[in-house]
Amino acid sequence: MKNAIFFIFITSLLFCYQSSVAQSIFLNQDSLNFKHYIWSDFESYENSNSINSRFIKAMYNNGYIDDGLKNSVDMTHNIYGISELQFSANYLYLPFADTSKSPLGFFASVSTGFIRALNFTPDVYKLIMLGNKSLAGQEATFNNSRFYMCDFQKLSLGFSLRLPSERGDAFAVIYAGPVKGQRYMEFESAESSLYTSETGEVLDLQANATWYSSDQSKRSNSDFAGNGFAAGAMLHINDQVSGYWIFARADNIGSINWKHSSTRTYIDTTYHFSGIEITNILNLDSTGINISSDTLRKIIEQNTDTIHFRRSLPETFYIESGSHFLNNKITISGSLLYVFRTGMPLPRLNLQTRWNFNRYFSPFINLAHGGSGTFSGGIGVVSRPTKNLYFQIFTPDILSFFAPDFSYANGLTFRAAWTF
Amino acid sequence: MSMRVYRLLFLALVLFSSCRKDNLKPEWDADFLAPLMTTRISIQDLLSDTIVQSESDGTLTLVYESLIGEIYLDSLLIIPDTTIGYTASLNNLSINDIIFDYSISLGSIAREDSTLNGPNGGLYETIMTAHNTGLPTHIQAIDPMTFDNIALNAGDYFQTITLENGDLEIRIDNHFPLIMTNVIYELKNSVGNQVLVRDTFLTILPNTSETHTHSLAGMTLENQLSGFVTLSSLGSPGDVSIDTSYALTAQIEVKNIAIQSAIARFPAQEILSLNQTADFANNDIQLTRAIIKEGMTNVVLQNTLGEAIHFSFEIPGAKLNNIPFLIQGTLPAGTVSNSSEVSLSKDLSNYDIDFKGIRPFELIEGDLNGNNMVDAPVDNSLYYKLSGSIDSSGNFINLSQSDFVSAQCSFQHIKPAYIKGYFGNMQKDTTGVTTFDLFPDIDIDGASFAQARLFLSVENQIGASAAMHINTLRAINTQNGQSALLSGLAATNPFMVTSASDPNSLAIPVTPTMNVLELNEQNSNIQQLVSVLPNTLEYNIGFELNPGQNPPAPNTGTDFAYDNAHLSCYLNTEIPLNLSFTNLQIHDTAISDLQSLNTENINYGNLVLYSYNLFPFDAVVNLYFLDSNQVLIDSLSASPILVNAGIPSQNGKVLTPYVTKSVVPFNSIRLENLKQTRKIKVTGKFNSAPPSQHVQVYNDYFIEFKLVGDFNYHIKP
Repeated sequence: MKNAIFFIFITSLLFCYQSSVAQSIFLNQDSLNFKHYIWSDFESYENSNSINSRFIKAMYNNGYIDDGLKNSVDMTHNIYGISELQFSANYLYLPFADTSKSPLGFFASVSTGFIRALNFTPDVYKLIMLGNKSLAGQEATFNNSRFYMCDFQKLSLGFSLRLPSERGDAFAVIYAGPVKGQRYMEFESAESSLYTSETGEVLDLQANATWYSSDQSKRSNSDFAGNGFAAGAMLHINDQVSGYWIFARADNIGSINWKHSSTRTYIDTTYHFSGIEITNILNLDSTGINISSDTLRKIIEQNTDTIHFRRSLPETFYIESGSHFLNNKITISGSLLYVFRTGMPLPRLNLQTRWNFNRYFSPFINLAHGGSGTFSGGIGVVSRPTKNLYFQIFTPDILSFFAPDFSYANGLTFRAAWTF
Repeated sequence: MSMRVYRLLFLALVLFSSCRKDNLKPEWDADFLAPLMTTRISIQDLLSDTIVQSESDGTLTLVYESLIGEIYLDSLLIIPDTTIGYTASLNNLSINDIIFDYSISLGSIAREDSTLNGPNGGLYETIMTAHNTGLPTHIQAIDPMTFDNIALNAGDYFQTITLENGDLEIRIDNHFPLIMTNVIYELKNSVGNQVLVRDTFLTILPNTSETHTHSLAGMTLENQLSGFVTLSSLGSPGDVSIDTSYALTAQIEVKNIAIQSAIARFPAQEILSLNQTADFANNDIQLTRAIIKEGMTNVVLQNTLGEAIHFSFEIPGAKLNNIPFLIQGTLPAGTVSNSSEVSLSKDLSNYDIDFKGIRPFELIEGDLNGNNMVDAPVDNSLYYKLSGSIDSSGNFINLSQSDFVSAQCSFQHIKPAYIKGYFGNMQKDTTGVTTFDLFPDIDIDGASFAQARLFLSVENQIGASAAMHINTLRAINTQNGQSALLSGLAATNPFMVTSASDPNSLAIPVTPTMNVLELNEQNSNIQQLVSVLPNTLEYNIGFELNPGQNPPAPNTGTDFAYDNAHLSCYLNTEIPLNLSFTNLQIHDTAISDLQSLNTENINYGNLVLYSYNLFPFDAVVNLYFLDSNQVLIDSLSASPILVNAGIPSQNGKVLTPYVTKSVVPFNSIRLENLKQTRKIKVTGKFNSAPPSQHVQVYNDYFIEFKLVGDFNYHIKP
């Protein structure tokens, strides 16, 4: 159990990753004047409202987390964090309404996603990183702490429809497909606490928590720990007259039925521990003294059922809007992102400004705030070496490279597209 | 898209999936407080749960009861195995009386005279003329005349019979109008010609009868008998009417037959009828009643007679659900060389048996055993009835002196659940050594009690009074070798123990009488015994039942005992815990399983022992860690940890525990020692405080130890 708790905590810190800048690839096109769109996204992203980038890097580097680093974490409020690692390859066929026999096109995508999210009370952090001595004489509360982890791959197939407009271009896509579940963990505590007496003579644990886990013996890329179904939709409207566009996408709407030796643990118990109680130390006879108590483990085992369970995917909702200014020299956009099931308290807000110097070099800055993280300032570059090629690279917080103590987001986004 | 594109896409998926850093292992150190062990020692733990008694004011009294002698009466109050036997020869077997009739008519005499003297002018003519004319006629004297045609057939009764005893009775009725003289008769076996009887009736007057009886003892009778009769007459006393049918009749009866041997037909008859008692001799115990817990009765019967015998064995005084004990059956026919045998067993469990003999039944039914009186009251006596009978089969049965019928009844392994009567002056000693664990497993140099009381109590479950003799009672301290022998009046005078009351039910436990003798300075040297702080008592205790009592009249004993009834003698000790002591030492060793402790990630730390002491005792304690060979590896503390005594308030009671915190640093080496530990030895030494001053101990006193680990732990997920 102890290792499991550490695992949750560590992995949730290591994979704070989020598709925070899922901008439409079409944002930078002059118009939707192609029929074929092939693009690929690689996104690695993590952010937190309390855990800085130096802390994260220390973990990435298998580093020793010293007291200074541990205390650098803001422990004055709940600690949120989210991470996502995603790769996708996509194809969109978008026929022109006036030349095609049918206005319907189609959409295909394969993707893999690994998402981790946490929402911990400061006491959870203190207990794990500092030890319960830092909580002596206090009741450490774990109320509504949450950890979420879901690894999955999916295939999406759907239809696209170009929507003719006198002012510009627009299209809609709706898609669905099977999902392969690879690994899943979900922990959520209700009213839970741990009291450590001042002298350490007494521990009082109140635990009200639920834990879902897929079959952890089947967690590699090729394992089918579960299967399910997911759907999504996209809508893009581009007003070429005013230079205004809006893009919205809903993704991962569906669920996975986790199979094999998946388990569900529900604990609602109180546990008082004041050491191994030796009834009469003066009359031990052949009594054995075994200090390696495994009571907690037994409680967990007794409340664990091996069952198949169905849990929702991390539904993602993204909306983006922007406009071109100064004869397309400057592009300003904003977006909101919310990922359900991650404990994200608010949507993540992004504001981006791009300077379109030439087709080879269009730098932009991205300011973000909210979600599971805090303020971050990222930079990126868009390049269109030819009419049909598009590249973009982006990092969410420039401070993570220069002042990691003050950075609470880091990662890398790379996007390549070919249109014809 | 081509397959190449698909392959590229799949490869890219795998590559990017592999970017996850699942195996990252950051490390850090954290400080943890963990309660490791807690134990609370009460006064009950120190002195054993069973011996400390709380008083209403919260003070404690050391109460200890030591069983120093116990006598069960099971082995004494027994009903011994008893066998009663009866063998009956069958010479008293009877057969019916044998009766023959024989007659000689006046016509027969006339014909015999005609044969002897011719028909004219003689007796023949006189008789026939008188018969024919009907005129009264005088009959002259008749010379002796013999009739030798007597033939008697007893084939319906027997083939042959040798008589142990018997009589042959001949009765002659003279229906002639003649005075008969010298009537001679003879009877003999037809084949063997043995004369059975020869006799003469000298005179038989007209219309009278004469009877003669002869003994046949020792004679053998054949079923075909023959004989003759010789008769003569003085003639008629005057003129008489004559009818030739007038006859002289003889009735021959064989009676009062006692058979020595026979081949005969036997009529239906009872051949065996006994009303007797069996005596259960049992030392000087006078048993009047018993309810049987377990036991068997076995009846074995044998028969040589060629007739089946119906038998019945009854114990009227043994009843189950008010139904008398009864065994009955049929003993098949046998022979002398091969007797038939029947063996029947019956469980006596739960039978309520009266051991007052035959008298209670004779008082109701009259004399039963043929002694023509109602028997006197007796104890230990069981009345039983044995009877046997045969049916008449009509067959000839060969009966000899070797024939017999026997019955053997045994009472075996009888264990009573209840007995009543008089148990006599039974005496029994018990000797032994018993522990006197006033301070179990504790070494103590010295102790002083403000007050101590000892009682000798005898618990009696037996319905009889008793006297207890303390032959020997020695208090021994095996640790220091000191001992003291009880002396004084308590040791020399018998201690009287009263009888228990009979609940008169097996379902209701007997309430024992408690007989208490306080051992004090006046009747013993008890303080001398206490002062050695004994842990062992050596004893020889004697009990005598019904001391000084003479046996009561039969049937009047009132002693009783139920199963497992016993006399127990206890030594009860009451010592108020107002004491002082020095160096009360305790030590014990426990098996430990600390090798599973995950200590390798502990960087450093302390073991912190918190002691909460309410006792007015100073203590020094320590834990020693031993390997599997009991070799010392390490100890909790280099020097024993001092735990100060609780400080009494003004009323003399400790209200707040004295808290002692002892910090024992532990490094990785010592932690490794802990893992090698296989046994933990606990030691403690207590001294009452202040020294040499009695302190009162209350029931809520305790000393509590809490061991807390304060460790810096290296976390490496």
